[in-house]
Amino acid sequence: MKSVWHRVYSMYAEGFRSMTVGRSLWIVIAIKLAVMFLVIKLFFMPDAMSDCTTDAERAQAVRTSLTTPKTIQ
Amino acid sequence: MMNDLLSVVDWSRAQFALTAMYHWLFVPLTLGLSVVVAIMETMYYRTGRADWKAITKFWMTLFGINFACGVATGLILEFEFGTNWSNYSWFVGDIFGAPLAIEGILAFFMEATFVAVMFFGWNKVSRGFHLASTWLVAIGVSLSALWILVANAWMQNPVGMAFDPDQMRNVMDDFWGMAFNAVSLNKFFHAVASGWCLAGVFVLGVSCWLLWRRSNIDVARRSLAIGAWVGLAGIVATIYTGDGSAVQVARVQPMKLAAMEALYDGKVGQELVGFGIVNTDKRPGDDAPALYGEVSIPYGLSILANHDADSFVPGINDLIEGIALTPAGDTVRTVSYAERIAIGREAREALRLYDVARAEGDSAAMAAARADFEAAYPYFGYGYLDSPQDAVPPVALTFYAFRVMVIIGGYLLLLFLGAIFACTRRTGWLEKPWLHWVGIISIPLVWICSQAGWIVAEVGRQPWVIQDLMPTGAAISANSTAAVQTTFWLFAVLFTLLLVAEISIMLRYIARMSRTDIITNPKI
Repeated sequence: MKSVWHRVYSMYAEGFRSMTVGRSLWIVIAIKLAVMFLVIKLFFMPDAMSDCTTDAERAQAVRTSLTTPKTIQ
Repeated sequence: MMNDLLSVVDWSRAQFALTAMYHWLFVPLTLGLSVVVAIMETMYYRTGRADWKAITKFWMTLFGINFACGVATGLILEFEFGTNWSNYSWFVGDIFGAPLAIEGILAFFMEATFVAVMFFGWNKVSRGFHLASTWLVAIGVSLSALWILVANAWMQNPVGMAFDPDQMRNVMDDFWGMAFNAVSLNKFFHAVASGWCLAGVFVLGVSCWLLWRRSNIDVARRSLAIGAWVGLAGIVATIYTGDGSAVQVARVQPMKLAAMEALYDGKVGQELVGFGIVNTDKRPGDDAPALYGEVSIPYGLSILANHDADSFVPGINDLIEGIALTPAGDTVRTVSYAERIAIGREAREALRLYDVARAEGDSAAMAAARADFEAAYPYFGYGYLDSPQDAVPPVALTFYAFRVMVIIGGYLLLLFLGAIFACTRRTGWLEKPWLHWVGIISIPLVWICSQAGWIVAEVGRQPWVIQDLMPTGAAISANSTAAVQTTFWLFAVLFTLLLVAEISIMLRYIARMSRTDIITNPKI
């Protein structure tokens, strides 16, 4: 009698081995995640408040921004 | 400086619209196709017939392609919150974060676990367990949508919170009121039902293509019937919840409703515009006509907004003057937009004084400033507008998008009824090329309908990122236009490539399967 963990492992292993369309999909997913996390997030999408180290500093940054006179739509 | 600020706002808006609309290409098909697949597998479970299993696996693969291409596209939106919308992200506090966190946990644990069983578990787990996994995926994707839409609905109807000037963020004080108010529930059911409708058309259209190719006739006929029934249930529920949404919008976002109708001066027994050409030079308060060539349905808008043909529906000019509807549908004169702008500026000044008093440790001044701020907070966002006209959304885009959504929605109702009639009463129609082409052409139409719905909801609520509390312009980060433009084009290329990849993988798979006997194909 195989253990539950072994059965779960074999389900995934055999599932991945027998994929047809799935191989292309995994390539799409891998490229997408790599581009998102290794390129976009790292180089193009920094946290705008990364200079603030505490919540109090973040709150102050937003308070300053929202109370500085500017009227825009 | 101001031009650059405006440019950053517009590019940030455009970028969010681009990424959200691309994301919304994948999501509704996932929502609806998961249900279609679960119904097909239920047929297999009940009958034990191998042909139902093959049909299920065929559509499950198409579901998988869409799921794989769509998964994580929403992450870009979350990146944008931190990069482009930092004021907004902080200001909304945990109200926005909590539903998104619940969504993430549900999506990760529920969908990811059971999707694996769904695809890899054939012949590994019992039929009952596999069926339960498929239904749990369908339920999981809907629950994910629920929390996203709860967060979105809060932006359109901010309730269940109080603003804390010390933390500079809204703090949730009524989770159930925030999560399950009439606006959020209507929005959730409307979006999920529209996903069923979209998937119904997708299944119907692909089935029509198989019929046109005279390939896998039995698979196509049975799929078409299920697609049509799911689609019919979806479109009926979409229309019903759309009616509920109209009533809610009339009370919570009356300016959006007025823009949807290009209605400037409301009246009792207001007609609904069936068709018209918007006068884009029209401005609030002037005498120019709002529409050319208008064809209207008498009393239609009063019925839609209030379920009462003799009720009053305020237009843009009325709303600017402060005339509005109460939650009970009664017409009242409230605060005019000019007064709201003045109150909003007082709120902003009180917040500044609170900050000064806090820095000086003057508790009496802090208490006074806080009291002034809290009294004026309901109109805080108006303080960022130059004039009442700034509170009017883009009328032409909202007006046309609403008509595209409704007209195609009406067509889809007829399409599903016709398809069901063909499946049950006129089976000979299923061999007619005209029916096949109607089904195939309907596939892009349903996506246009779905996107138009998104435009009505999101463009129609401009200029607000949070209704009355924060306009889009106040929500953005201090970025340069060039930085936002760069990421805009980056996302445009990335998402277009993803879309091309999805469509080409799907088409190749459908074409490959159409050259085989799906029911006996061991590799399906």
